[in-house]
Amino acid sequence: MSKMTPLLEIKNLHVHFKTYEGELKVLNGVDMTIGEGEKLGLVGETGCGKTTTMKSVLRILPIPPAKISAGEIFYQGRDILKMKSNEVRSFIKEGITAIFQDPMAALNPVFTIGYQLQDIIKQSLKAQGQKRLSKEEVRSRAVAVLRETDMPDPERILRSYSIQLSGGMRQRVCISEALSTVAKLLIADEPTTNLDVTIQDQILRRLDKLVLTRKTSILFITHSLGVIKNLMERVCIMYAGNIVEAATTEDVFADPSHPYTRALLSTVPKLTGQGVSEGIQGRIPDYLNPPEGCRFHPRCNKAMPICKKESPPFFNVGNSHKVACFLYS
Amino acid sequence: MPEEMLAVKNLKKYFVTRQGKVRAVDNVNFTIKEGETFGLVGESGSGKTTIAHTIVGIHQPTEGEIFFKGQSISKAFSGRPKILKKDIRIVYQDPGSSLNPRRSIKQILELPLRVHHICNSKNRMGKIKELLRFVELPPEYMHKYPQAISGGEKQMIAIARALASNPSFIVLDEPTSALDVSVQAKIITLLMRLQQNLKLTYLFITHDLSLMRNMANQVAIMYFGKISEVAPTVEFFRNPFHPYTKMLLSSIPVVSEEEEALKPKTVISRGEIPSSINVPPGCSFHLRCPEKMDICSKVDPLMTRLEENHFVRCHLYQEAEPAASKI
Amino acid sequence: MSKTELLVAALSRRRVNLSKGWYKFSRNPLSIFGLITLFLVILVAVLAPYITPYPEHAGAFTNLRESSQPPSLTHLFGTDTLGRDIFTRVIFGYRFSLLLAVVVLSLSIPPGVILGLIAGYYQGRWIEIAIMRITDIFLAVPPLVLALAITAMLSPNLFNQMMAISLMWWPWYCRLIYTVTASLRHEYFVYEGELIGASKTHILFKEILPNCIAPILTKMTLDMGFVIMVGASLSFIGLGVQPPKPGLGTMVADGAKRLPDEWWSAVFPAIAIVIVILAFNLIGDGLRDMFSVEEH
Repeated sequence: MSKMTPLLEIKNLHVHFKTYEGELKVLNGVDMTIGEGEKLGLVGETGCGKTTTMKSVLRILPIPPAKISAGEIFYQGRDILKMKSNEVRSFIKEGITAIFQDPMAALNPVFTIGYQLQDIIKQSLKAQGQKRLSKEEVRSRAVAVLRETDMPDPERILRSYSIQLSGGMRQRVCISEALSTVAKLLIADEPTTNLDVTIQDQILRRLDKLVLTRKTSILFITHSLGVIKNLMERVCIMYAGNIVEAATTEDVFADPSHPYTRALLSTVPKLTGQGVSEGIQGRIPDYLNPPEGCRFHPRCNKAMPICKKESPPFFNVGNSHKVACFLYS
Repeated sequence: MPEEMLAVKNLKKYFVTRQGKVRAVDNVNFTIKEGETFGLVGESGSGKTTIAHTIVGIHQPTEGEIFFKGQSISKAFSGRPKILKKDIRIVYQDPGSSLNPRRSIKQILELPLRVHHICNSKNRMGKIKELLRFVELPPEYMHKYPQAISGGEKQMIAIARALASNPSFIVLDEPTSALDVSVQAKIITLLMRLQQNLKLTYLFITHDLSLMRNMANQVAIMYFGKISEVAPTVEFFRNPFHPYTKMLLSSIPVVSEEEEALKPKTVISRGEIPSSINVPPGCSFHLRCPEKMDICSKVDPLMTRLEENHFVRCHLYQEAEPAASKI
Repeated sequence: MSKTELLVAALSRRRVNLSKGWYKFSRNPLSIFGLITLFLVILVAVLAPYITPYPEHAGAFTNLRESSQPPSLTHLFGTDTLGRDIFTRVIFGYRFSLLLAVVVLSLSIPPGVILGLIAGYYQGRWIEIAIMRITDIFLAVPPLVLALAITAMLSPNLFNQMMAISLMWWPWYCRLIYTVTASLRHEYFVYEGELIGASKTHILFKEILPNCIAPILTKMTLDMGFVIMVGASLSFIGLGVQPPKPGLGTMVADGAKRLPDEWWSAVFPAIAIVIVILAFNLIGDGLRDMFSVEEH
């Protein structure tokens, strides 16, 4: 099912941040793969390092204070961390597209939406090496892609500025921008959390359909498990700078193996009305002095002596189902 | 027999903007009994935050009345007696902006104690430590500033602040929407425990229906300033009547098959969301309603009682007994 | 916890906060440079009578035999037409300039801030309109013209110069604080203060004002340099420090008449002005970094 060379492979990524109080050892050996045309969900709570991982792939980490102290990121087989930025640009011609959490920051307030959207369409056409389209054709593509995200009155939106739109609309503009590129990889960082549930649902379906037709891979970062269930093929659960479990979506929900995954699932309020769980005891670790061994062990009710000493590698518990936990060694 | 804690009658709040009049809250009626949690659900623009702010006193009602423990309080905070200000409290949606970044936790928690003379200055430290204990935070936190603590902890401080004046009624406006699901669980458990121990009444606002299912005694759905359906929780989820309710329930992301089976069959929304300034005539939902009839675009439906405590505002059910005098 | 323990704990927290602030400030090497420069300027200005070679030259002194000497080992910056040592006079000149900056800002910031807070909080009411329109009137007049008019009306001396500049400076702070207050007016923590029943004084001074400290301090540091420049400009046209007192601007004016032959009479005082203004500007940059609030 998976191709020979995955589209993106992150190997043993360690990222540290230098601050006043010391060095924050955020990413602690992240391992992740995304195949071509694959939809991977990255689930983790605030502070687990998912945005840092995303920024590392996009090479937009502020270095300094950040520092990639170890690891490789392979895109189509080549380590992009070792390349200079112009090398990366020419290597990934069509680019990697991203949708960020804060739409206000992603949209330039001094240009109209139309200007920015049409600019992106023109750039992506150039990247594909296609001939230039006329202004009207570019404009009608922009209108079409806005309609795809269910925006009311796309013509007016194209003339508007980002400050005139509501948060939900801005996010949909960002999603339209992402859809109008031809990137092979789309990284979306919580793109629908600020949207209403019905709109969220609609947009995710559209994203799904569109991605199918273009065979784009998606890395979808979120903390909402429900969203993952309906749309992603595979899921990686992240905790404190490590991937702790990676499996197909079905397996993660049917057979959650890592204690963190289980605890996380238990805290989601259920429609059945069983009440709300107490949450997970303890706090996320202090990255200045992270715990030795498995970073989850202080909060784990199944911690064993070895967990305090060594960092667990991946163990296989099923068909392409990996868990980083000594319970399965 | 639990008393009526809060009653809202024909409440309207309109805002005049340059583009026109925004009918944020448009003739809303409901009652909350002592000790219960009343849930208010709605998407953005539905008016739920405006209702919360009007009840608490940030806005003056345009029309209609609010009764608290039997007394009329339909004024903005400047017209309200001081005692009211400590009895009705609010926890806001955004923990980031509800705590002043330039004030320490101690100063933040001290303010209500000082203003309402809850305890004399000697006992203040003790009271602050007690409040921190209520929300399960260590006493050293009082010296921290909001930037140094996480979003979940900020909300806990906001809750502690609300409790500082020994209130009887707390409005919770999406208190956990910005938080991770495990932190949410902790806070919700805390809120429920506090409700029991301190005999509190809650108006709980959220867009997360799964959460509502586990927290509220009654649920009301708002759409464009009007309540479209209200019922006791179990009834609401088991037997929804309004097409909008069904649409919302069908789009909830759930994690188990069990839950999936409880949802009504998928209703895909069509059409566009009207602007809040030019609300179309008739039922405000008709542009998106899959079961729209002719009358829906002309006449605004009335609230109808369908079961003991289950009310719907929809032409599909207009033949049943109208609920003019209910709530 | 006893009172002493509380005090000690509070002080150590204060120390931690300060060293954190210093860390952020020191990320910027230019700001450190500015700080050191300013420190040196203040030091020499304060110790002027003790460290300058010819302190008596800062007053009424004439020695025509030594007049118009170029820079040498005995007179580092040369002498002016009356034989006075320019180096000494520049150092003493710093005293006036720094005094001017401190006095002007002390007089103009408090009223500006208070009026700005009130106007920003009571948006839409008559008091806001009144305050802001008065501010607009003051701001509409070109600053130098205003100061000129006032100093010309009264007799030209340092005191009047300080009054005039203060009068034209407060509206800037009023407008700055007005903008900040208006933007914070509808924040939840302000609503919270109102809802709980806190007094307006508390809301303005304890909730809103602390959020204004950063822009005030940054603007204040940059303004120090600007005020000195305005003072020098006024002195340049004769409306400031009167002879024989050594005002930097006056010195530049006198020296400018004799350019390019006796270049030292104008150039050194001018460089002195530039140094102090530059120092303040660099510090201002560092302060802005120091006050940046970082999220988790």
